[in-house]
Amino acid sequence: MLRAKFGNGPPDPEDIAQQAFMRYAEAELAQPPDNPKAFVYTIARNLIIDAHRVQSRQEQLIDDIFAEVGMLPLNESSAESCLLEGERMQMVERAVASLPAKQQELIVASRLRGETYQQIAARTGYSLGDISRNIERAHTAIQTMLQAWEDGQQQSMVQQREYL
Amino acid sequence: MKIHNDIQQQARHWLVVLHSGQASAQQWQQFKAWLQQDSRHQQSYRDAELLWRQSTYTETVAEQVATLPTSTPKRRQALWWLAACVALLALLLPFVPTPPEKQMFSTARGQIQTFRLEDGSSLTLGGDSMAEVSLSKHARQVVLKKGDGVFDVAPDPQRPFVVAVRHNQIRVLGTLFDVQQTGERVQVSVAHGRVEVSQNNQTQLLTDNQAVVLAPQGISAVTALGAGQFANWRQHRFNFEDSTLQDVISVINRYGKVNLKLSHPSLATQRLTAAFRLDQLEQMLDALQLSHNIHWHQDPQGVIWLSI
Repeated sequence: MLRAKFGNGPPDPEDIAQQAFMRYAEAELAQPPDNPKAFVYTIARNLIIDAHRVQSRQEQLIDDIFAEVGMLPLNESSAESCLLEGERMQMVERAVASLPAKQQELIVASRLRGETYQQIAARTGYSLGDISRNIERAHTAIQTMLQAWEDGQQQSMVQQREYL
Repeated sequence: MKIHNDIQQQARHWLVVLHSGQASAQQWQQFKAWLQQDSRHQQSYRDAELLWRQSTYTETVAEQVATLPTSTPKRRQALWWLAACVALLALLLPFVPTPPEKQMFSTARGQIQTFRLEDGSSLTLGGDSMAEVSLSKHARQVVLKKGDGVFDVAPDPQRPFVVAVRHNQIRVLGTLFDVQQTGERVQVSVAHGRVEVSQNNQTQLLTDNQAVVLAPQGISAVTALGAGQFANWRQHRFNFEDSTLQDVISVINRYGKVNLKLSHPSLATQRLTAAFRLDQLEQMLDALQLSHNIHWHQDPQGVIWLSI
């Protein structure tokens, strides 16, 4: 399945599949996922994204500043976050899928290829202002959808307060 | 606690600027100052940045991976270099002195890390924790000097695996179990396998999903571990049942980057039951205000003070 979709690699689809199963086994989930097959696929897919992703210098700088001001490090690492925050990641998934094609293209350019806005502008012909605006819109849309979902979760928080 | 809309917009503005690749040194400085100004700025930016990074791990982005060139010449070159380095390392390896028998592993505040041991076992240490490991032909001994640890022990009937913590001994053959220290209290939880816990002349056998608390006055009754309760600290989730406030804040201080302090010593013995995630700390503190009338505020140095 991985090979059909992502080709022969690198990374080798067999290695990825094996790693994905290992992570799944190590996860000790509180309850088994509804669809283990889809779940392992997600882990594998995220490992492949990681293998192709170009980490930008900006990201490193942001991580450094987080450490300097004493903030907790971001633990966005692919496999982990999809294990711990299954439902949340599904919402992010849906939100990104519902964005206009142009905004999706910008996410791929910035997030996957690690391109600067200038590089994107040179390749696509979009203006810098246009790129900034669309990235801002994309982020707003995802965050708004996620917050609407989290507000739905608030009820469980209320329960927790009473418990406390 | 809901973050004010303005702050969320500022955070998003910073996100767009910083990820442009064109932010000036001055802008980076301003960003850092903005974060330091207010803990709500930090929280809001953290949320925004996390979300942006997570947007990478979606089907939409994965579709594009399939269309990327798979192996650029540059990458291949890098692989050759890597191969050469590995070969060189293999040549040098026989000359590296064998490691000493005792190995120390430790973590900083807010850090959780997994270490692989030579016998195939692994050890995950919680925040601000320390363990001394010695592996010999006949025995495997770990002294958990500070903090919490999850032990995933490789089966080896010839070499029992013994964990010493305070005055307690935990003896295992092959299993996954967790040791948490809070004040003088040591909690041992077993995910699977068999573990023998002993203190002075008292011993207790634990198996799958069982836990006990070891206190100076003895070993507690065995309790059943609820679903999803095993070693939650690895996900920054904490459950406290009828614990003292002092114990709760000492755990938070070990795992978080925050510093919680009591403005009056009488608060230390207040008892509470709470379940929360570390990133929901503010909500937890707000709830504490409602339930126990304990107030909190953050001083300019970032220390969070709890007061009556």
